[in-house]
Amino acid sequence: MMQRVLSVIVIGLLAVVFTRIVGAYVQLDALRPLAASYVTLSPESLTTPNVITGILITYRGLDTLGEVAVLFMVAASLGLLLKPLEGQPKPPKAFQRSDPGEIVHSGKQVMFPMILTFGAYVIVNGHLSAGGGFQGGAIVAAGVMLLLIATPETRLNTTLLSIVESTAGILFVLLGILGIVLAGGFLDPRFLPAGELGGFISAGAIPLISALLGIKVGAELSVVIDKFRT
Amino acid sequence: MITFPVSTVMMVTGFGLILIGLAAILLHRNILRMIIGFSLMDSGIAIVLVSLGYVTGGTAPIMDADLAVAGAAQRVVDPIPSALTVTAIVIGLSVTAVMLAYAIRLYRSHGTLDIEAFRHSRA
Repeated sequence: MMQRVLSVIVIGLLAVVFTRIVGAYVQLDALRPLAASYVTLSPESLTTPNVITGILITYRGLDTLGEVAVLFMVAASLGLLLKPLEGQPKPPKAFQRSDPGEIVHSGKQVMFPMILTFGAYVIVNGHLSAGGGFQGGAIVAAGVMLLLIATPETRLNTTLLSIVESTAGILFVLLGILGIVLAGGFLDPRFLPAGELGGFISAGAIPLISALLGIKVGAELSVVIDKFRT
Repeated sequence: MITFPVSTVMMVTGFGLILIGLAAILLHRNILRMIIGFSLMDSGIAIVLVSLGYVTGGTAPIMDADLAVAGAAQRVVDPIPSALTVTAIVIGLSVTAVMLAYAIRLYRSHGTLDIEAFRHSRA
C-alpha cells in the first residue's frame, strides 16, 4: 500500500516537471546551426535529397553501425534466453494452435508478395524519398510475420538468414573502410560517382549502404520473430 | 479561443504517454503489463524527440519538385531529431524483444508472471 502511494507521488512529481518543461518550451522559428548546415550540405555534397537518410547513413553512420550491432546482439541473445530449460518438464501447452482462418490465409496469398515488393521499394528509394534501410527492413519482417501467422507450420531457414545478415554486416563495414581509403573518412559514400540530384542511381554509395542495411534488418527481425515461436 | 503550437500538443501527448507508461511499470505486478508500460514510454519519448525538431510552418526535409534546394534551410523541420528517433525506435524494439524473452523464461522456470513471486528468489 505504502509503495503504491509512493509510486503515485513519484508520477505526480514527474508530471509537474514535465508540465514546467512544456510551459517553458518555445517552438523553433528557424533551424539550429548544425541542422541548417546538414540541410544545405546533404543535397550539395552528398547529392541525396533526403536529408534524414544523409544524416543516418553518412553524418551519423557510426551510430547506425552501433545500432545494427545492438540488433545483432539481441538476435543472438534471444536464442540463448529462449532455449528450453534443462531438467524441468515442459509446461503443459495451454493454447492449442488454431487454424488462422480463410481471411488470413487468402490475405497472405495476396499480400505477402506485395509486402515484400513494397519493402524492397522503400529500401532502394531511401536516398530519394521517405524510407530507407530500417523502415524497409521492418516492412519485410512484417510480411514474414504475416506468413508465420497464416501458416504456422512454416519453417524459416534461420541458418541461411543468419548467413545473409552476417554477410550484409561485413559488406557494410567494408564499404565504410572503402570510404576511408577512397574518400574523406569512415562511411563516407562519396567514392562512387555522385550522379544527378534526384536520380535513382545517385548519391554515391548511400543506396548500396541503405540496401545492405535493409537486408540486414529484414533478416535479423525475421530471425527474432521466428525465435519467439519456439 | 486559445490555439496551441503543434509542438506543444505533440509534447503533451508524448509526456502523457511517458507518465502512463511509468504508472504501468510502477503500479502493476504482472510482468507483461510492465513491458507494455516500457513500450508506451518508448513511444512517448519518440514523440517528444520529434516534436523538439518542429519548426513553425516547416515541411519534411526531403527535396523534390516542391522544395527547391536553394531556400530549403528556411522551410524544413530539424532533421536531426527525426534521424535520432529512427535509432531510438529500433533500440526500443530490441529492448522489448529481450524483455519478452526474459518474461517467457521466468514463466517457464516459475510458472507465474507475478513480480511479487520473484522478490525473494535468489536461485
